[in-house]
Amino acid sequence: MTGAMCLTLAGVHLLVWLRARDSWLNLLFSCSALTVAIIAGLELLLMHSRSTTQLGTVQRWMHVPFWVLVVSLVWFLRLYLGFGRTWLAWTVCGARTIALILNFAFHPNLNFREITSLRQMPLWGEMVSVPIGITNPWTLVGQSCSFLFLIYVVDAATTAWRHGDHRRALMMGGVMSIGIIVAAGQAALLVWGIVPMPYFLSLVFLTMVLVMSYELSQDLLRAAQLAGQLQTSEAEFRSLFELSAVGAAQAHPDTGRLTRVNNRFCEITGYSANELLAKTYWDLTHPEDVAMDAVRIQTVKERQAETWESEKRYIRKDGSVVWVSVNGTMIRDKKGLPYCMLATILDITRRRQAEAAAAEQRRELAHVNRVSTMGELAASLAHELKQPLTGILSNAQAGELLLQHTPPDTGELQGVLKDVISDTRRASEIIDQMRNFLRKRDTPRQPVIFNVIVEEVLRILRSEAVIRDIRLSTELEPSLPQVMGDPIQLQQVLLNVIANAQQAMARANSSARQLTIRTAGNGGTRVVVTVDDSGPGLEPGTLERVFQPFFTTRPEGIGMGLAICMSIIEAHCGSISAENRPEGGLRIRIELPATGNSTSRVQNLGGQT
Amino acid sequence: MSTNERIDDLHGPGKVSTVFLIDDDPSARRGLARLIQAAGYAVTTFGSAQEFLASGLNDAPGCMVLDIRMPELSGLDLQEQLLRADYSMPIIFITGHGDIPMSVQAMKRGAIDFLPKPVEREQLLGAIRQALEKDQVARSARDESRELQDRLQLLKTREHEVMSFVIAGFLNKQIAGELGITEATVKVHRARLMDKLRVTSVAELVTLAQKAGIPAAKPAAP
Repeated sequence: MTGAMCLTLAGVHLLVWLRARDSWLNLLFSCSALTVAIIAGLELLLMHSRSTTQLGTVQRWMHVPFWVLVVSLVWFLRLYLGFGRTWLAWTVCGARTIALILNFAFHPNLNFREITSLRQMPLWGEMVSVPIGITNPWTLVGQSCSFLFLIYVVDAATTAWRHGDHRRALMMGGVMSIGIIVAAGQAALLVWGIVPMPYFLSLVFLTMVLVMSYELSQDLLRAAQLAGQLQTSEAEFRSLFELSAVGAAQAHPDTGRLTRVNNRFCEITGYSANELLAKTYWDLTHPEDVAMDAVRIQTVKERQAETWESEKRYIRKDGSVVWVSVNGTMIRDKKGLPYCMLATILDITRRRQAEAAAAEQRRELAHVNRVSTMGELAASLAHELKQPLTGILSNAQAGELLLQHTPPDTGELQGVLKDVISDTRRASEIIDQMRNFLRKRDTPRQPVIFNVIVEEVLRILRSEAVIRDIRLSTELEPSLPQVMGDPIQLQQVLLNVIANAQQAMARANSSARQLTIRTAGNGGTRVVVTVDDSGPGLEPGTLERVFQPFFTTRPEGIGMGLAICMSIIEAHCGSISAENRPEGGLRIRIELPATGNSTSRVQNLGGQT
Repeated sequence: MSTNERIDDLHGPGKVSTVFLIDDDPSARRGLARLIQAAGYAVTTFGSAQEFLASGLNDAPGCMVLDIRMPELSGLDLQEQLLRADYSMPIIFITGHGDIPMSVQAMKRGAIDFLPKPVEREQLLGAIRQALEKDQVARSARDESRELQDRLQLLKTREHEVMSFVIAGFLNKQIAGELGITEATVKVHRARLMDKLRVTSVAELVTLAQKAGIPAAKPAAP
């Protein structure tokens, strides 16, 4: 009966192992169950032995399945708990092997030097044979092997317990320890002739095998449960994927061929699912965005990043452009190789349009600011224009007089014409600068030397300073690094800052009005521009607010000038700040990244439209 | 100061007089200088009021064409400084920035004219002509009074006393009595002072004394 049960279990688990060759646990269990069946059969033979020789021989051969059993159990436990000292495991196996060799070295076997007689004992209403004989002292080798095995089991179980696997440690460790103690104890009592009785080791081992089997089937159950959960979660994932309000797509990691798309993705791109499955990810992407996207995906492929994000454009089926925000991740197989790309796709066209509208408004506002600044400077500009006009008119009128002389002084007339030409150019430059300044569109970003910006702004403001009786001085670093920027916007910033300073000083009505503009290249990585005035400065509480919109100390001001400066400077990745100077007056400090510096990534103030 | 723009034009009304042009803007300065020169005046130009003050030409014969808006020392400031130092060179102001309060102030202080830039030739040359005439008149008046003072310096104290009595209408005898000297001595003093002051009659002497502001003597209390 024991044998049949064990054989069945062995068969089942052997099948499992045959189906999944890496489930060594099932193979080991199979071996154990098989050997227990064999041991049970041999024990039956033992009980029905008619002679001492027969009994000795059966007992000798019983050591072979016993060896297999021990080795199987040792490695089963090791695999099952995941703990247990490997050296101890090898020692147990080694000791058992030595015992097996000794077993075959002695006659009749390791346990007895000589079996003297057979005693007949009743068992469950049947007479069975029990050996009586002289104990072989080498049987101690087998017994110490059992002792080592016990130590190994206890050690492995306590380690597993300490790591939190209480149930398995208790079940497996307990049943194996008790099994070893009972089996070894019975064998010892019998072999040393203390209590004569038949062998029923197979019953002990059967218990062990049953517990092991129960544990394994628990695992099987758990696996089945997991499979069920997996199915549910797969269904959940599918409905999430299919029904999501966000576009979702899976694609092949190398070719980018789309392998799965949801409805929303179809809506975003305007293609049907079937059409999409014949396309690659790259077919959809706007040609200008392919390179950027490829770089991001490559970093994820090479495991430099877990996920990638990009804002890019798709070309829809009807040829229109849709802005999307893509969040992607790479799914990998067990070996860690890219299996598929999974991405969610959000249509952000509206947001982009809103951003573009906001940028347009910022641009409008900046333009209005430039126009109003120019308006405030009209008198100064008129003054500035009248200088070359005076030159032109006076030269021309002088020319008329010179022609009346006889003979006319041709050298002087040449001088007249030369001056008229250069004065006309000067007037024209002033008008050009004004026109550029008043233009609505952004100027493309370009390398700019800030000293040139200062000089151009002073051309507009010099007359203003003279009219307002302000002493203007500059300290410009000759070898200033370049910055990347929009020259008109940078002029606007400086013009606003200087105009503010001039107004502050005019209101203060101080006698010594001094305005100093300095440029410096801080270590070649930053360009620092400071504008110092000798005005009244600012109340400490208002220092932080000067760059906020609608902050003004002028009754006629609307308080947008410095706020616009800040938005322009921030769009140039720079910073602008205000501080009171210890010697009185206000200092505005502008810092911009120099080009050639890796941080000088320049955004477009207007954004992409 | 640039002197290369100065010419000696014998036909011009200011043979020795010079137009001092002070403007911080090079375009305007060159154009105006050329125009004034072409009209036959000697021109000396300066880029700032300080440059002019440093040149020591404050009292030179001529007039000034002065830009009112200049950094640091403005045209008005210069006018004020010269007035305070009792220099009286006539000034024509020019400006690129129409500013009525300033022009009023400038005119009150005796400016010849206040011209907006760009300046019209006829206005400018007219103003210059007027300014140089005014300068010449003022200058000759000043020369005359200076020469008078020189002559008066030659008189001795007694001669002064005699003169003050003569212009008060005293007779020689009365003067002698007043001063306690002989009538003959009074005659000698009288002849000498008439000679020194280069006058030939009492009437001339009275006019001269009036010009020089010398008070007539009062008879001593009887």
